[in-house]
Amino acid sequence: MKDIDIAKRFTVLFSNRTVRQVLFMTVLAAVWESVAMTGYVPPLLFPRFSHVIQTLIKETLTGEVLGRTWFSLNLVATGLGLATISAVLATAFAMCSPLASECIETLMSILHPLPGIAILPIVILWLGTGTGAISAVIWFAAVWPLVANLHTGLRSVPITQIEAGRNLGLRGIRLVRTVLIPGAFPHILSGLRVAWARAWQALVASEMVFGACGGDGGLGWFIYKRRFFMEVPGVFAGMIVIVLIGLIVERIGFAQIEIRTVRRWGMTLE
Amino acid sequence: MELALTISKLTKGFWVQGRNFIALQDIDLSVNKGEFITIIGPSGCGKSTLLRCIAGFERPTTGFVQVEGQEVNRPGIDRMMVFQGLDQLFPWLTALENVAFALRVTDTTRGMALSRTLAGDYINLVGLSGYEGFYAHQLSGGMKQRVAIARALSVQPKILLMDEPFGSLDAFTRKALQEELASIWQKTGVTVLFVTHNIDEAIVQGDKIIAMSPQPGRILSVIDNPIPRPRSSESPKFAEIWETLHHLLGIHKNLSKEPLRSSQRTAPLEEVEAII
Repeated sequence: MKDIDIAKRFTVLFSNRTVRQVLFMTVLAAVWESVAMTGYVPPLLFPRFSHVIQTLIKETLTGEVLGRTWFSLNLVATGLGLATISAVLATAFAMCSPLASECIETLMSILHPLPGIAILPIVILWLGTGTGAISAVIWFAAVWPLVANLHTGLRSVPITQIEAGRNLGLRGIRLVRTVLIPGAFPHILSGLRVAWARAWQALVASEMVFGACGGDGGLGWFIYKRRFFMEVPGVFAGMIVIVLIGLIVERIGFAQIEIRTVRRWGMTLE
Repeated sequence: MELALTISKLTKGFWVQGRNFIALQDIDLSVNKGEFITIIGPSGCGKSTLLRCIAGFERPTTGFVQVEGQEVNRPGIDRMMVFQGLDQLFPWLTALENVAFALRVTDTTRGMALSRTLAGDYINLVGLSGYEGFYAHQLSGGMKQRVAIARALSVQPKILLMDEPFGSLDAFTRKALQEELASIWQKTGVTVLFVTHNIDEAIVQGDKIIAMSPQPGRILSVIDNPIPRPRSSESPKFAEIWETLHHLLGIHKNLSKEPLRSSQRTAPLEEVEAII
């Protein structure tokens, strides 16, 4: 009787997606731990999961993780902020005339496929190794998806809604602010999501390229430094922090914004 | 009777693929205050273009549109349009907020609270109390059009322009909304210009029925409708007007072509540019 009750409870619990995900990750960690414990793999290169977690806790307590995270987030915020401003300006310019729009589109199709990190060598020559160079790479990685989505978003606003706004006497910047921007919001949000993901990747990548040169750095540099001193658990710990921040921003940040706006308004894309 | 609207020698041409397409030719029309006019004609007869010229979305090539003596040269809240498309509400606003938005942007001195209170009255007027907090995607087609009517009326236009507003609705909803609109018209006394391609709708709704012919769009005839409201299709006079209209419009049957517009267009960027 009691067994049936427990089984039932387990089924109910298992039907929850989050519970399943946590369970899967626990299994994964257990597999990791047991593979490392067998002794067939060199512990220097493949540390036990528990060691990684211990290192993570230790580094967190010393304030190292927080400092590095803060440094990285600051850089991403700067790069993303500049990219957003540039994207708004570029889109405004594109809306001035069909010719300007064509120029922006051509520029976008040339530069969009170029990964942000690919411009790092030239940026280092221009700006030197430092936060400026990293911000530039982040800016470059984020600006094109933002321009593309803003551009598409504004064009996707139904003409009847624009005319309904014009009928109310709205024109120019007021029409853009009250009708076009909210109407383009689903695209703007998806542009920000892609831009954030690309910016975060570009940040970690570029920090590793000249991590050893700078005196201070972010999470990428943290990983680089730990590898340099062969502190492999620290390398894994850094990777875990990068994954966690990515998850928090995507699952908690963007997902919550989406639920409260686009989903609530029934404006989900496709 | 005071004149609400005067249209004089209005011609509208468009350049379509390098050729000048005459959408409207020599339109002369006077509408008294408080009249309910229906405009009927086959697709492509320019009836929507005529409405858009009155709304100020299009500029006449020659001739002019005057509202109470003032020439129309841009969109304005004295002429509010209700579109056919079911996408005219702002989806990021609730039914109430759509109306309150119109009230707020047209008079910035009116506060948010007052706008919402007034908006509530108009939501009531169109029979949607209880649905104030619903977003557009949660409303049925008929409800969306009711909100659009409430939004248009809330700014107290002199003329309500309706471009086949019930064209996308099923027959039952259409019938209910026709009756609703008639009662709203009686309550508010607003002048209504109602475009349709449905003969029954034109007769049920209009005190005056304007029949148009296509290519180029001209006014064929203005028919007075003496049938007392609420109009029933059983009435013998109804059949008579129906025959007249059918005859008038039937002549041009062979000329009618596919409409040049669709209800759910999205704006090409150039069009958005032109607007801004």
